[in-house]
Amino acid sequence: MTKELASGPVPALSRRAVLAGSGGLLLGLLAGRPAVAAGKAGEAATPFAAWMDIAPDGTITVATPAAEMGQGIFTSLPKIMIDELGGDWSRVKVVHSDGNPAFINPASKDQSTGRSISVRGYYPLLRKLGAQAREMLRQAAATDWNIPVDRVRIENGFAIDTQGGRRLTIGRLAAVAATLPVPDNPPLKSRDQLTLVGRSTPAKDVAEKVTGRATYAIDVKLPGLLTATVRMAPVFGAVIDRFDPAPALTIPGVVAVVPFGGQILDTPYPYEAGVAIVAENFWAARRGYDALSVTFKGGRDPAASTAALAAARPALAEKGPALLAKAIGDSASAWQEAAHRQEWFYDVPFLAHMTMEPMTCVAHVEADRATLWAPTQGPLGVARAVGKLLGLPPEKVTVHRTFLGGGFGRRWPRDFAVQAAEIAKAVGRPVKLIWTREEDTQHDFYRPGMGLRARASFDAGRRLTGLHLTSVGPSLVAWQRAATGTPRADFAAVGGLDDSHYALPALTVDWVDQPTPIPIGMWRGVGHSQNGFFLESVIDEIAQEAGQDPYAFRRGMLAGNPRACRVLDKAASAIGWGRTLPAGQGLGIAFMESYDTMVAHGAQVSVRDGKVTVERLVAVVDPGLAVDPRTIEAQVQGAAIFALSALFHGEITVSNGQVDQSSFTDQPVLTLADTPPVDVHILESDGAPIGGIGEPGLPTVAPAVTNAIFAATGIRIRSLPLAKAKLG
Amino acid sequence: MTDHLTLTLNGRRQAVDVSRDTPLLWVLRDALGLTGTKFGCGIGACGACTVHIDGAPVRSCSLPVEAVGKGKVTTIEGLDPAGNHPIQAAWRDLNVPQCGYCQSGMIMAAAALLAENPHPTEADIRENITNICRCGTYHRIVAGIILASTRKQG
Repeated sequence: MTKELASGPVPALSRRAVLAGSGGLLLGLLAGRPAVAAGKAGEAATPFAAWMDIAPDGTITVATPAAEMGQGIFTSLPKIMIDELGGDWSRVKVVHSDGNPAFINPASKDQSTGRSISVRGYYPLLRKLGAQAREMLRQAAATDWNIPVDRVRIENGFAIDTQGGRRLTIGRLAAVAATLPVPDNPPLKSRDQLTLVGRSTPAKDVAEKVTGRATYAIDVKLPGLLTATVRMAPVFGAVIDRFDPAPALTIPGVVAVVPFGGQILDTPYPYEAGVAIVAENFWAARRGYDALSVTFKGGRDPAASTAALAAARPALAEKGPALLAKAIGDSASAWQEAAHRQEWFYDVPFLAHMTMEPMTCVAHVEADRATLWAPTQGPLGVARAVGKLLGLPPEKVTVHRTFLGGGFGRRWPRDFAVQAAEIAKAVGRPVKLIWTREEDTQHDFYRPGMGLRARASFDAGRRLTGLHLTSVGPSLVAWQRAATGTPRADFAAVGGLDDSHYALPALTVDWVDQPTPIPIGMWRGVGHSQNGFFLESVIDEIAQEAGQDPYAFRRGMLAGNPRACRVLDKAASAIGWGRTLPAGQGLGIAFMESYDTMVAHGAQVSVRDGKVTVERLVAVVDPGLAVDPRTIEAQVQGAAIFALSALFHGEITVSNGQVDQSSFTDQPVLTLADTPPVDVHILESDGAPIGGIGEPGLPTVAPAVTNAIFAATGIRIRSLPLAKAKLG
Repeated sequence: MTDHLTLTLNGRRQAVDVSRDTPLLWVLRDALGLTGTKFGCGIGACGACTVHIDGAPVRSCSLPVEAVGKGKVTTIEGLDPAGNHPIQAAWRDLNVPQCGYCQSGMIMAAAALLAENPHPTEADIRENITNICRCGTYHRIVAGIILASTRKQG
């Protein structure tokens, strides 16, 4: 099934610049401990992981261990280290590190980018590394000038003799500093000594991104590189029945047709079966894709239907079995003894990520090693999975990282990287894999469709006496790793419900598993993405039953939490809560903490002839410490747009085991024309843990808008997307 | 089958051997190595592949190269030799890109709008910029175009 491939040795591949060492100060981690490598450290396989290289010319190259996928990590991680160092931000260059266990995030114990954990997890380590380099440079200057080290300050790229006025660039001191011991516990700067953290600094990836020079995996160039595109089994878990490579091989430029997949690799993540069309260029591959003759058979559930799954959820909430996630007080007794009871059922659909760059990856497989250029949120997982496929230890799989053309959780699974490696192995040449938009839409790891039954108990005075929240849907954990130990409520199914700040008289949160054959995964906001909508809608319903103002009702339940009240109050005042609006308009409000960041949204909507227009959103965000305010504003505005896309249009349906949608035409997303103003207010809280920022701006957008729709129309939206709602 | 075609690309005549039904996008990316222009959907829906032909924004993923004819093609690489088109400068100043993948197309669409309408209102921008950005950079796109238009007037 392979036409004649170019034979002969593949030319040596150019290695992406790992921090190779400039001859200055190369600081990093060796077996988890800070260490210096003077001179050249070199290859990615070296156990030493370089985080920062101060070159003799004063340039500072910083390797970011986390992936840049639009969240601004190229700026926000390096600035933490450079601020502590006293470096000159304008002389800083940032690169992606390779995948390497020496770059693991101390909080997540993985070198993964997600869960809004990069700044939160790396912050202490980056400060320490910056401080270590600073102290070594101070010592080098003190020795050079023969003065006590106390007299030396490092500021904006210079060592300064605070009494004599002498200055030297830190580049001039770097080689000497590299010969000094790395101090164990260098002093850290106080907040008022920091000049980069807390202020907006020029972004380190913007120059490349406005000129088309930024390299995504789809842009990687290598000698002898072929391009592949894939046709995967449309029914999840199906296998190839028959295929004939001949029609595709007649297309000029197509060099091979390669069946792949069907295995389960390092985790329960499925790796769908399919056929790759490998060609000299993408257009030939794409024409081969159209010409391909293949049929599939079987599948995990060839009759699977999202409509049937959704229809079954209310009964599952009744029937159980429910796994308990949280119990405060006795909501069961409250329900029994209630003078007034209300039960509501909420539902949200499956959602696709639809990153702008479809799944892509470059792989080159040799006899005893593999090299990937992968836009991945988890390079170590890629190395493990590719290693397992090829029978190589993970350290023989080098994972270079490129910019990600969007992540949002889709690039957490490693299906695309394993696929690229399998195809590259089959053809014996480096391969660039590019999925079509249609395959990308139909082979995602979707945000699961979920339901929520809420039972609220009231006394005779219509005061809330108890709340029982039952989440129904699949387990995200079950799709990521094999079950171990005692079954527990899935973290994503209950996240946002079991960690609420509201002081409720009695609360039970439990979860009923609804296994699904449809692949599911992390989607921006993860469990909070649906539970923000669920809980904040239910709170509004309860306020309505209790005859209370939705803002005042929330405030009453947050009374013991001044930080939360400040966030909520600011959202209320910014949206102009309490004012009278014309008929057909309304205000809504919602509050939630996720990833250690508190967020409230206020929404103003108008509803005319059944059409909802979001006139304005306000977002108030308290991440504890605002490392880069301009990045925070961008993330919160972007999260609002992502959330509004889902609210208005987001729905992936599955009929007869396969996804019905295929592109932006039948799964629309928000465009500029429909984007409301989003005003972002940033608050800080001294002493609070540093919060994440990529995801927390999402969960409260939908309920703020639907609560506003209720205020405008008296119609309560309990099922998404809005495109299906009848409002007039 | 390949055909011998000549394009006017970024101000220069450029010979290329491709099959004439190849979309302009893949001629640029695969045959000529100009990878700034991106593939997003292949059906002209998202605009990541936007280039200019005779100054007008065109979605190159859906345009067979043979249809370009004598049209002058400009890509992100050729928009300004130093990367200092007013849109690019405004994009840098406001830090518009997030993941950046759609931004070449966005910038080309914005530059075309500005060329046709040097002082667009926010309504003009909302109506004319139909490219998709999943990160949600829309607010800064509006601000960036307005900033660039102010400076151009400058």
